[in-house]
Amino acid sequence: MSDVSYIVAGFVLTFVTIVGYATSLRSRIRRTERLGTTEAADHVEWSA
Amino acid sequence: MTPPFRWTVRITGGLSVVALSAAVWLALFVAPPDAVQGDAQRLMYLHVPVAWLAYLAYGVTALCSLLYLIPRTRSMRWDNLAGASAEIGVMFTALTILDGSLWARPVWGIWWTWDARLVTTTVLLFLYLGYLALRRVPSSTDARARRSAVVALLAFADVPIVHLSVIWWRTLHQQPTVLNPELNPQIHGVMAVTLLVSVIAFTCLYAHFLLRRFHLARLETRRDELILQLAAQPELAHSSMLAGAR
Repeated sequence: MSDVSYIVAGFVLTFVTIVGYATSLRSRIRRTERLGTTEAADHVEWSA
Repeated sequence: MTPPFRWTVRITGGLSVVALSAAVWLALFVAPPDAVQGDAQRLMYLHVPVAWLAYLAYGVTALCSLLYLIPRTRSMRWDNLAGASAEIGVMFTALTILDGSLWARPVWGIWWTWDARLVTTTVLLFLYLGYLALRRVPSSTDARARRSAVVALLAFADVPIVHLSVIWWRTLHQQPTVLNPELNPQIHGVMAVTLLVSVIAFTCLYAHFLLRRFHLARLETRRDELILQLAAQPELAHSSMLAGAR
């Protein structure tokens, strides 16, 4: 492989990881905001 | 999210995009190739900033853990911030190792070697993976925060070992170029500017991620408190479910 292949692989890997983490954070925040109360109520219902 | 907090998140996000775009442009099209390593050295503009960010993230985790352990400053805010920063630090440490491996292959001819810097960095990654696992062990909020804070402070001891490993032991990894013991950076011109822009860009990104992850940690804490509250008062659970149904 040429040097360019390693450079491209490094930049792609880094930015895909960053975008992936940002997307994961966004979906976790939305899920916790939306389902927080429902999950809490479900938990009580199941543990009752 | 309060309006000032939301605006800070947006500003750091916008700054990160602009600064990272500038850093990529400088790294790929403006900075000259290295006299010895050629174009492969361009990976330095990723590898060094993500390694710096891992140090910074673990430093913030250690500081927040210390603030939690001191009775006068004890607050769940510090514990949430410590956990948030450690998670980001783990991502940057993994990137440091992977980018380093991609840089090592064309320059050293190998993907990995049992070199002091590489091994201590990998140990750092596993220490903080363990820290994150410990935070998920079911327990009372205070007990979890307290033992996590102690582990975070112990794990941070590896950070100076990682940084000084190339000075203490004979290694294949190069010596510190910027933060060397003589405090005399062995880099100049366009390369130094590119590295500086890249470090600033990744620091903005860290700040953005930290704010968002901290917000998520607060939401999770609030949700857990609600679960406990509802478990203790079933009639509240009933009214909460009715409110949810409406």
